[in-house]
Amino acid sequence: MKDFPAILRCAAGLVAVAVAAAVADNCVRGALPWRGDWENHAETKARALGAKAVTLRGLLDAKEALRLDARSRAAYDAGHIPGALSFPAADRDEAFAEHAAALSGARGILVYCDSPACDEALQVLQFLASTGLTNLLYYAGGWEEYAREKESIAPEDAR
Amino acid sequence: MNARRLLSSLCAAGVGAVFVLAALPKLQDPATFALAVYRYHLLPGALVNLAAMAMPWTEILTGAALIAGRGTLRRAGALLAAAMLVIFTSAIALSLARGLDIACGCFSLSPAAAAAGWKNLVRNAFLFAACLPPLLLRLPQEK
Repeated sequence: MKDFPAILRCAAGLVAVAVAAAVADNCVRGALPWRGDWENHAETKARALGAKAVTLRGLLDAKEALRLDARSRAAYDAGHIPGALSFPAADRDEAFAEHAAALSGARGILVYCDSPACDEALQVLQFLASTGLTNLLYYAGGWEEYAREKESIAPEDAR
Repeated sequence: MNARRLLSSLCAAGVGAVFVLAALPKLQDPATFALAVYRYHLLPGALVNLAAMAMPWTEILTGAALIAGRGTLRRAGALLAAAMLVIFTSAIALSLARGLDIACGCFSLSPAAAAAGWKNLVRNAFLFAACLPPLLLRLPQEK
């Protein structure tokens, strides 16, 4: 394949043009910061606590997992993911006592709050991990993403 | 039409179309695509956004080179497509091996998209195979 160097040069040229186009595109649209703060993303923190981060699909597929809503009771009463128990981060000791039986028998515990920007789910995950519970799941999208996407959720996925 | 030329052209057009179609949702929603890249946990945080910016444009140009290019340009497109498929397939295989529950981020950026799995690996293997005729087959006028 004697023309391979020419093909390689051409491919490198295509990549260079693509990078230039990407830079120009982001300068014009400003869609992304050049350096994202991914080290401090909520899912990074949840992983550090030993929890597995799941997407909306992961939430729907983990049908056997106990769902905990870490937001305030008022927010929970206003709307929550089907099947979730209220487990406010601010009242976690009381909530833990209230749901002790369900927690000890759970095959997976999934925690969420409003969005990746909220802190309550991480607080509850930290609390649950400190009690020795394992198989913790974290749904970063939270109630906001679920409420936004619920119309597109197939009936067989809902519970 | 020469059978080699036909096979080469069909494979190039098919893979090219797949790459262009894959790039469009990523260009429409860069932030969600950056999140999909982050969830593979393969790149340092500082490089996630840069990769998310560059990848769709590389896919678009690769697809365009495969669809509209001739000779060296088309073969360069096939080489790039094959190289990207190796990278994508390795990333998916690593995420499966590590037990990550993440979407592929290949075509759909919907949060309800199915998790990446063996189907993605098989699909990429077929796409990789389709890159080989336009890359390796020597057409009559190129001899």
